Amino acid sequence: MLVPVLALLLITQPAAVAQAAERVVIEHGHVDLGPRFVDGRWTVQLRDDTGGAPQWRDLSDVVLHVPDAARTTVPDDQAYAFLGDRGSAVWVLPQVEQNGVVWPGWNTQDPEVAKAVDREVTWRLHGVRGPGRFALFLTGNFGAPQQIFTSTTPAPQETGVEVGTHVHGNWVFGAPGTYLLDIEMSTRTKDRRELTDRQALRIHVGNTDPRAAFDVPAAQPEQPKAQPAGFPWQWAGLGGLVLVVTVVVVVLRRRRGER
Amino acid sequence: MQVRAFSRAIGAVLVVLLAGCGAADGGASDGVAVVTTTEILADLVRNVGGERVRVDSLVPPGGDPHSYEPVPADAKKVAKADVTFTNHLLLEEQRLIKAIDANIRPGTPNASLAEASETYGAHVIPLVENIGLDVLWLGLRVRGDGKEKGATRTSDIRLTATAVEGPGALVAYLTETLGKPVVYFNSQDGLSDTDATTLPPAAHTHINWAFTKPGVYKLTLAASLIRGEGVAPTPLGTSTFTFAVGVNPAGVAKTVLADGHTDLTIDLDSGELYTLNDIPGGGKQNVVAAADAVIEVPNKAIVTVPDDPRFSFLGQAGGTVHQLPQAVLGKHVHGEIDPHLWQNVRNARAYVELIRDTIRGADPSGAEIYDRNARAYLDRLDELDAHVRETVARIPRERRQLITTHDGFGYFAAAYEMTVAGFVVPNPAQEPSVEDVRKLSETVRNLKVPAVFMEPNLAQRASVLNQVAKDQSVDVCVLYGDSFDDRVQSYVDMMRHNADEVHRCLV
Repeated sequence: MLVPVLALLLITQPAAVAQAAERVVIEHGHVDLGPRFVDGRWTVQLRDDTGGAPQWRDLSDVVLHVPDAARTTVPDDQAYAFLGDRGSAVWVLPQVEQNGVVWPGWNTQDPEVAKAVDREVTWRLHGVRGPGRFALFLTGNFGAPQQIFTSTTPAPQETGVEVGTHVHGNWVFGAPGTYLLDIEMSTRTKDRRELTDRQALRIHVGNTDPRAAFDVPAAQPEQPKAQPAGFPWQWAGLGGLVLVVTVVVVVLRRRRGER
Repeated sequence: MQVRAFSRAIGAVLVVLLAGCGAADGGASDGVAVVTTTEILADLVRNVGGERVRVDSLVPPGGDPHSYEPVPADAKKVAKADVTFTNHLLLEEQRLIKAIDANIRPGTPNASLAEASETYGAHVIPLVENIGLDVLWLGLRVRGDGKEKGATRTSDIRLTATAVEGPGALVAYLTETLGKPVVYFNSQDGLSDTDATTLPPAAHTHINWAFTKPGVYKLTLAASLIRGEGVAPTPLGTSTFTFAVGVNPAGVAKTVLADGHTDLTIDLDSGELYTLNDIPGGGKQNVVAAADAVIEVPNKAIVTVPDDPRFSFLGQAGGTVHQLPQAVLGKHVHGEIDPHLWQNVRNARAYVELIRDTIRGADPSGAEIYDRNARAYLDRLDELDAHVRETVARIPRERRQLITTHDGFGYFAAAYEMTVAGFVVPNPAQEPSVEDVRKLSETVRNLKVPAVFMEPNLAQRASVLNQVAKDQSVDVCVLYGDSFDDRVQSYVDMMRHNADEVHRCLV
C-alpha cells in the first residue's frame, strides 16, 4: 500500500488526492461502468470522463443525475410496450450522446482487464430499487429495440460484455426519484480464476436534490466480493454435491435447449 | 441464465473429478470400451488408444451430428462404455447427449471436449448469433481540445459531406432511442448544406452507414469550428474516406478496417480528419490516415429496407442495402461457443491431450502406451497444421473467401487466415429464408468467388447452394465439416483434403 500512496503524493496535488474519495453528482458528459483491478482486486467502478483526465470512481461515491430535461413519453408503438403504457412519462439517457444529459455506457477496456479476461465479462442485474420501472436497451437497425435489462423481468438477468469492448445503451426510468441498480460483473480469467464483484449504482431522476441518493443504503451484498481462486473441489466429499448440482443443471440446460 | 455459466464451471470440474477417481472396471482383456458421439472424435480416440481401446461412434459414418437421432442400440453401447466423449451441447442433437447422460454407468468418465479442452490450450471462439452485427462498428468522434484554434467547451464542430463517389447512394443516419431516424448525410438526391451534422467538442457517436449498391465509395467530409453565433466558422480540414461495399477490400487501400471499433475522427488540434481504431483486446487506439484506410462493408451486412415510411430515405421497402449498424452488441451469444473447434488443427491437438489423460484415468495400466501413441499422433498433427497453413497461404489473400452450407468453418477461417463470406444457414437443421437465399446470391455475385463449398453429409440439403452456384456459374467444391464419407476416413485426411480443396478451387 505504501508505494502507490507515496507515488500519488509525489505526482499529484493534494486537492486531487482528496478528490479521489469525493462524492460526486454527474449530470452531463461521458461515463462508463466497468471492471478494474483496484489494488489487485476485481472491482466494478465508474470511469468518469467529465473532467479533464479520466478518473475511475467507486460506485458508492457517484450519483448519476437525470434531469427533467430528459423526460419524454413512451411512443405509440408496440415494440416499446416494455417501457410502459403508451403516452406515459419516461426519463431517458440515450444511447447516443445528447448535450445536457449524462451519457453512461459500459466497457471492458481497462488494459489490465483486457489482458486478464478470457473472452467476456458477465454483467448481471440482481435487482432494482426505485419508484418506477427501469429498462436498459439498445436501438439497432431500423429502430428495433433490443432489451438488455428490464425491472419487469425476474432477477437476476444477465448479459455478456466481450473483452476489450465499449458499448452504450438507452437507460429508461419510469418515475422521478432515486434508483439503486444492484449489479454484478464477473468473469473467468485466462489463468482460470473466477472473479466477481457486486455493487450498487445510484441514479437520481428528476429536478429534486440528487445528493439525497447518497443516503439510500445499498442492500447487503449477498456474496463475498471475491471468490478464492482454485477452489479445492476434490476435498471433503464434495463430489456428491457436485453431482447433484450437475444433474439439476443438466436438466435445466436440456430444457433450455428444447425450447 | 445464471445457471448456465455455473453449469459450465461445474461440468469442467466434473470431468476432471471423474477422470481422476474413476478407474473403470473395463480395460482388461477385451480393451477399454469408448463411445463417442461423432466419427471425428472416434478417430482421435483410436489414434490415442490404439489396440487397447474399442471405439464406437453413435453418429454413423456420413451422419450429421446436428440432426442424428439415437436408436435403441446406441443406449446399449453407452451402457457398456468405460469412457464417453461428446463434443459440445451445440453440435450434437439434444437427444444424442441425452442418450449418453441417461444410459451411462455411474462413475464412467464423460468428457465434453470442446470446453474442457480450453485448459489444454484450445482456442475457443464465441458463437455468432447475428452475422449482420459481426462487422465494423463505425462512429464519429471529435478529439483534442482545439485551444489554439479558439475552441471552448461550448463551441460546435460542423461536419459536412461535400462529395460522394460510388455506384450508388451513401446514407448516414441515426436511429434515435424511440425509433425515429435522423439523417446526417444522404447522397441519394445530391449533396447540399443540409448533408451536415453538428457535434460538440469531445463528441463520440455511432450512426448507421447504408449503401444502396455494391462497389467502392469515396466520401469526402469537411469539418469547421463554430466558436459562437455571428463568428465566421474556422475551416479545420477535409478528408476522403474509402468504403469497400460488398466487394473485396484487399488492394483498395493499405489498411483494411474490417472489425472492432473505428471512428471517423476530427482532430481539433491538428485540423486533420482520420480514422481512429481500437486495437482488439487492448486499451490502445491507433490512427490510420483516411487515404491509407479502406472500411469494409461486407455482404453479411446486407439488410432489407423495412416497410416503414420513416425509412423510405433508404429506398423502396423490400429492397436491400449494405449497412454498418449503429449498435453491434448481440453479435455473439452470451456464454456460448462455436462448437466446431477441430477445424483448427491446434484445437484437435488439445482434444488429443485431453483424450489421452481421460483414457489414462480409466485405464492407468495402459498409461505408457497412451502416452506413446499420443506423442506420435501429436507430431502428425503438427505436420498437418503446417501443411494446412502453407497450403492456404499460397492462395492470394483476396481470394480466401469461404461460402459454405452451414456455419461450420469459423475456426478454419480464423486459424488459417481466410474469411467466412457467407453460408446458407447457420445450423444445418434450419431452413433458409427467401432473404437468406438472396443474401447468398448477392454475396457470390459481388465477391466474384470462383467456387462455393458443400459438405458431403449435407448433400441432400445443398439444393439452395447448388442452385445459387448454377445461377452464378461458379463451381461447387467439397469441404468436410462434421463427418467423413467413403473417400475420407480420418481426421488427418479430412483436414488435408480441406486445405487442398480450398487451394484447388479458389486459386
